[in-house]
Amino acid sequence: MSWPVALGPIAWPDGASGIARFAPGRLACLAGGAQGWASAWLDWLGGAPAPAGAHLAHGGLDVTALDAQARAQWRRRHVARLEAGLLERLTLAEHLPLVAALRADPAARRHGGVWLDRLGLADRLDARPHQLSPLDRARAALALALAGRPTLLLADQPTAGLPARAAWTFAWLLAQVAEASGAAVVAAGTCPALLAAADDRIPAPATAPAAGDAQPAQAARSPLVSAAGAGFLSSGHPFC
Amino acid sequence: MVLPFAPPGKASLADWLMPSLLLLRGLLLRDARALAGVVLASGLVATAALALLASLSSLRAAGAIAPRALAADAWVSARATACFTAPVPLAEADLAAIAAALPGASLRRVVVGPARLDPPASARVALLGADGLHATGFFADRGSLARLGLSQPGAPLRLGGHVTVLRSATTGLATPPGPPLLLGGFEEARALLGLAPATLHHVAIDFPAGPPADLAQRLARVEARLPHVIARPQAAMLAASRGCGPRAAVPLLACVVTALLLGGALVVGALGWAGRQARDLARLALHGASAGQLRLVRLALISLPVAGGLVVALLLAPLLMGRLQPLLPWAALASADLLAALAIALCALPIALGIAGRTPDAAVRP
Repeated sequence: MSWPVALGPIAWPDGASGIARFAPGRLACLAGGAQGWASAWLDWLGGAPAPAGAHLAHGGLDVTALDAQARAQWRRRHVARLEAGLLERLTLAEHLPLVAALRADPAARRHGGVWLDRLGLADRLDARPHQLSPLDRARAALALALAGRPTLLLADQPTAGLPARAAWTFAWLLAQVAEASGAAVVAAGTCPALLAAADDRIPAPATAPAAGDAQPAQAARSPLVSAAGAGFLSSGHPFC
Repeated sequence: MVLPFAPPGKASLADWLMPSLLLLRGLLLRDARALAGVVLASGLVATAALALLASLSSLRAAGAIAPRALAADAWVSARATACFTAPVPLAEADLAAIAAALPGASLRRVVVGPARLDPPASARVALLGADGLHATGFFADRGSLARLGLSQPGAPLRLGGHVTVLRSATTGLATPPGPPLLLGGFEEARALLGLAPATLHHVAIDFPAGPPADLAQRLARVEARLPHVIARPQAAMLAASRGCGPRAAVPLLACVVTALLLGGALVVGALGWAGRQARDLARLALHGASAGQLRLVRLALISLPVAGGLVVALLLAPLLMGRLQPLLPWAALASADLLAALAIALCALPIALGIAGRTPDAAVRP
């Protein structure tokens, strides 16, 4: 099962406005401009309070309407952040029970193990982060992020700090993992590798959601949730 | 499409404890050197603070050294007597009335007062005489003898033209900057202090089987028979002597400041350590840790340096006190000081936890 994610309304530099949509099984890249907006978007997508008038919908659920406790539970069940990464003093094997306990999901231990295996780290379970190459560290972080079977995986600058070749490898891996896991993967970054690997690229908005040029009345009328689709559809704005 | 919003499962006890245990295990196995550094640093400051606290509390308790040394079950003094070392005389005739009110108790006469050693020592001393001690000769604390320049037991002791003998040196009777305490027989001390015959300062009361359950009523009977006296149990006499005089407020204030120093050392050590773990805490939060799980992990992390620092202080403080004995002969590490250190550490824990909880978590990148 998969659920699209919608965030909006968004105002674009050309005067158009609408809803940004992130489809399951696809890698979307928030690209362009200063990247502060992209990090803020990732936070809002992760359930952080969005500006007044902005809405976040996940499947048929209006996340914005949830109270803090329910939102925390939603985040815990559905959202993973790649930046969670690895703890320096734990081996990869020790991360599996840790993630399972943190998510109160015993199955996450097995799923994490499966993803570590699929990403080629089965023989590195006893390694600690500093004993891994940068690419293997990124792979391991990805496997652990997927351990809880998230439906929305957020990655802020996922290729930062990786050598160029590793960045290309990891960017394409993100796209493949999005397809294989069925999660909507949203990455922020302007790295060429990431832009190339992304199924959808979303340019910098003119302002934050519902701030400035957005039209709250129209946003209120617009259904936030639509059929699964890629990218920014309602205004007809082209992708990069 | 409606998202079947399934909240995560209810966290079991293992889910609550697992993150803390894994993190502590990792720290102890793989970051022991850094942990030892933090524990040692906060432990050394805590040791110094605990030793200072013990010295100051000993200083504060020094006024009660004399009644503690005589170890009576109860005391009778003139009602006008504020504290043990500044007594108002009683008449020996009162002893009969006291004995009548306390059948079965044994009474010891006590005198205490200032005196001066003859030249060349020419030092001020406090003489304490009590029934039951050697009829002639005095003994004193080893540290006090050093202050007086009196070296060996058996040496002649010259007081006001009288010559007596220094019997022995002991420990636990050292007095802080005040005059050294010399203990001896009642009659000889009374004569040396120049008190009138048939007078005394305190009556030490001992019961054959220890303080009886109705001690308060018995002492009230004494006061009823002799309105000019005050009769109190040992604890009350110690408390009165401890707080005697305006100078008692100074060591008390210093004790408070030192306690704050001790607590501060533990809190700062814990916060430094927690700051070092901030990235891990942020990662745990991003991995989906609940607020409760994060609090527990933070508590576990902070407990390490606080408990470690306390243990180091409890181990090293007695050694430090031993080294300081020649300099601070009155200072002793009492169980009350250790309990105070424990209480301070317990207070430091939630304070450090509260401050660490407000510290923004470090930004993390994979």
